[in-house]
Formats: sequence, C-alpha cells, structure tokens
Amino acid sequence: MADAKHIRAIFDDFPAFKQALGSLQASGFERYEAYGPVNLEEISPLMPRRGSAVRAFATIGAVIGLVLFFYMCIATSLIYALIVGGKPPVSNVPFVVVGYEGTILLGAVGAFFGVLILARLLRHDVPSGYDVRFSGDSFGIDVEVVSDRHDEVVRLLENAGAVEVIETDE
Amino acid sequence: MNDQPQSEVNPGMNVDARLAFPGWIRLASILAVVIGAAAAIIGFLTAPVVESWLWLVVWFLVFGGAAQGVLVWAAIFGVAQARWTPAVNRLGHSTIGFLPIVLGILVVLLLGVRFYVPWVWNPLPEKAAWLNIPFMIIRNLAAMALMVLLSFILVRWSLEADAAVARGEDLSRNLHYRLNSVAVAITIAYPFVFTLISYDFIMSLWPTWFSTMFGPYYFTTNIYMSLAVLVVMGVLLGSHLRVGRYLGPDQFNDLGNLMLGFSLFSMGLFFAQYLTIWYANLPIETDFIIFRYLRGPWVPLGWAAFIIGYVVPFLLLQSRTLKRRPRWLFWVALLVIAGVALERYVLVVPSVMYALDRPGHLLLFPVSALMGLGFLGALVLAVLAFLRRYPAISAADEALKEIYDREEEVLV
Repeated sequence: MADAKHIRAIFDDFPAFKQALGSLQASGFERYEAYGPVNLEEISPLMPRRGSAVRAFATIGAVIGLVLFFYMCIATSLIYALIVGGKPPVSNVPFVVVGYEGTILLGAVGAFFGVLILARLLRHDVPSGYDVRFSGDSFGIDVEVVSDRHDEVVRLLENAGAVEVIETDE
Repeated sequence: MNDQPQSEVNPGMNVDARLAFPGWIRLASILAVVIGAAAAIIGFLTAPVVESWLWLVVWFLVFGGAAQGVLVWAAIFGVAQARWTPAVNRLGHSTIGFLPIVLGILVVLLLGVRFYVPWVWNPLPEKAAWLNIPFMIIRNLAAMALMVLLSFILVRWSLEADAAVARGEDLSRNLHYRLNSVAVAITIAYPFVFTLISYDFIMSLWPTWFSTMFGPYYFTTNIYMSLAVLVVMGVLLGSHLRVGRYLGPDQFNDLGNLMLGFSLFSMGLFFAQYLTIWYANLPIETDFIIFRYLRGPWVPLGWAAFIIGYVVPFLLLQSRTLKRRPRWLFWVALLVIAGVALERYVLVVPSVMYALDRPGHLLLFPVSALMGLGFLGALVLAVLAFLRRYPAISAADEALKEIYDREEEVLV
C-alpha cells in the first residue's frame, strides 16, 4: 500500500495487549503483527488469518513424490520384465503403496523446507516492527494502516492501554 | 428464557435447554412409521419374499449401525476426555430409545434366516460349526444385547450424574470413574460386536468368501457414517436446542475433521483389503471383489457407492470454510450417509442374487424399500422423545470440562 504507515504500540501487561488485538480484529484490520517475550497460544484466534504458503510446498513435494516413486517402480520393473506369480511386470496395485509412501515422504520434506524458508530462520536482521523490549517484559503490536484510519488506530491502541504508541514509516 | 438457569462457562446458553420442535415433525415421523409398516406388509405378501428380507437386512445395517454408532461416539469422546462435545454427546445419547427396536428387528431377522441366507439353502459341512442357525441366533442376540445394555448403562449414569450436578453436588470421582469405565467397555465391545454383525449379515451371505480385514472395514465405515449422522442431527436440531456455542462452527469444524480422517482411513482399509486379495489371487477370495468392483452388472453401483461415500467427501472436506458452515457440511454428511447406505446394499444384495442365479437383478422390490421410512420415522421419534425429556447439554459433561481445564492449568 503506497500511503500506508506503521503504528507500533507497546504494552506492559498481557490483558491490555490481548484487548488491543481483539479490538483491531473487531474493527476489520487485516495487516498487523504481534510480538511478545513468550509464545502465547491464546492470541492465535485474534491474529489475521492468512493462508500459509507452507501448504504449497507440501503439495508440490507430495505430487513430486507420487510421480517419482511410481516412476521408480515402473522403471525398475521394466529393466527385468519378469512375470512373477502371473502378474504383469507393471502392476499398479502394489505400486500404489510405494507411490503413497513417496507422497507422504516428499510432502513432509516439502513442508519442512517450506517452514524453514518461510520462517526465515537464517535471517540476521529483525522485522521493522520489532522493539528490543519485546524480548524483555513488554508486548507489542505493529499495525500497517492507511492514512484515513490512522487516528482511529492510535485511539484504539491507547484506549486498550498501550503505554506507548509510535508512528514509523516502515 | 432468562428464568432458566444459565451456564457460567457459556453465558446465554440454558444449561436446562430442551428441545422445542414443531409438532408437525412428530406427525410426519408417525406417518413415516405407518408407511414403513404398510410397505413391509405389502412387500412380504406380494413380492418375492427374499427381496423384502434383503431390504430389511440393509435398513437394519444402516439405521441400527447409525443409532449405535452415534452412542459409541459419545463413549469415545468420554474416553478421550473431549471438552468440546457436551452437546454432541447428548445427541449421541438421544438414539438410546431406538436401540430396543434395533434389537427387535435383529430378532425378526434371526428368525427369518432360512428365507434369505444362502448357506441355509446349501449348507457347507466344513463351516457347519460356525454357520448353523442356533449358534447364529445365540451369538448375535448375546452380542447385540450386551451392546444395548452397555449403552443404556452409559446414558443412565450420565443422566444420574447430571441430576447430581443439578442438585448442587460436586461431580464425585466415583461418578466420573463409573462413567469412564462404561465408556471404555463400549469402545472395546463395539468392534467385536459389529465385526460379528458384519460376518453374519454380509460375509456369510457369500459363504465361501472370507477376509480378516472385513470386520474392521465394516465397523470403521459404520462409525464414519455415524459421524455424518451426528452432523445431520446437529444441523437439524441445533437451532431448536438453544445450546449456544456448544454446537457452533468450532464443533462442526471438529466433526468435519473427524469425518475427513475417517474417510481417508476407510479408503485405506478398503485398499489394504483389496491389495492382500489381489496379491494372493485366490479364486475363493477374489470373486466377491470382482463381482462388485471389476466385472459384471454391479460394478457401476459398487464404484458409485465408493465415490459418493468416500472420495467426494474426502475432497470436499479439505475446505476449512465448508467445515465451519453447518449448512454446507450438512450436504456432505448426507452424501456420506447415502454412499455408505448404497455400499451396504452392494455388499448384501449381490451375494444372495448370485446364489439365486439372478446375478443381474440390481433393484429389489421398490415398495419394500419404503421400510426404510419406517426406520427413519422411529429413529426421529426416539430422538425427539429423548431430547424433549432431558437437557440437551449434559451438566456432568460441562462440570467435567471445568475439572479437565483446572487439571490442565495445574499441569501448566
């Protein structure tokens, strides 16, 4: 958003922080991030719900696994095209088992790398909305807001009990 | 509404909420029972008698299985200490009044085995120790009676616990353990009893065929269908029960997730059974499968049941949005019920038609099919009678939820 600004609010107690998140959600804001010294499961429902791209990694991995493992079975069977037990060399029924295992295996591997990449675990800088106090004893919210709702957000955060509200450009 | 006691956990919900349902539903259900009874009389008097018996077997498997299956879910949720199911549990309990009817139909079916069971017409001496009428009657009656008895005990103790909580007493440890012990007994008894039912009312109709996987496949698909029945009951009755968030999008999402898991599990069992039969390639095992899924007039019905009951629901239930919208989930649940019911038809009927040398006879006497309406009407009447009489939320389950929450807080 071209004219979007960031508003960062700092809270020194959890109920106020949670209330602010609830108010943001109730007011229809969809672009905000929360920070805190510990991971708190109960704020999950108050965060904007964005579809995770991990699903795409898992799906691509699963499809590759299915095709690759079926191919492995068919290719190795055709090297020595022997008829065993009256079954044709390429018998797809048992290959389903191998294909299924490949689907799960590479799907899981895809999801694992998806998490690694999307969580940006090798990243050395910190998000722009981060404040060092969020790793100490404070909670924080960083809201991306367009100019016509700027005052509304500031008022909402202050009413919820923010001890400090800062406006930033990034 | 505000004169009634309110839940502390869930304000706005009547802990004493009972069913307030339009009176015409009751009349329609009675009419359905009458139509079902008339269809039975016409069917048994005018059509080939075996066809009416087979319809009775199919509806017994569908409605009897569903009524018992939803109660088994209440027991499973109890064993698992599920905290999201007080309303779902009570829906499960509500079929208890239908179980004596199921037992009665079982008695009728057992008395009539000579009319529709091929091994009675052509006995197999090598299997006579198992396939004989007296033993079949004794084992099935004993097993089903045990299941019904345990179900009655579960519901009765649950209602007693409710009464204790309503009197202001704490839910004692003894009461809690008692409820858990009968729930555990039901979850253990269910696979054995329904394996037996599947052996006697499906597998033995093709007396030379056997599969050790068939029992697990049958009781798994039965509780899969029962989940769908719970969804249908929840959607149709939810708004009349005034149970607030105890039967909202979160609960339907969880039920939808369970259905998704069980659709996958059922297909996995289907394939596991198919794979072992395919590998061994023994004629004695393959003919049952070939006749239904690979060659002959029954193939379209066999695959239609599989696709409607398992594949399509599996694909649709991937959507979180769908699972959180009860009205959408309702249609998926109906698909599941229709698919599994059609599968029961495909598992039962071809065996007897094959034995009668009429393998291409797909549609049994259609008037007798209306017996299913009788089953449906009786089931609805039993459920409505229960939910009118007893609260739609178990106060004991709600008290247990608070106990579990407290225990979790202590552990954290």
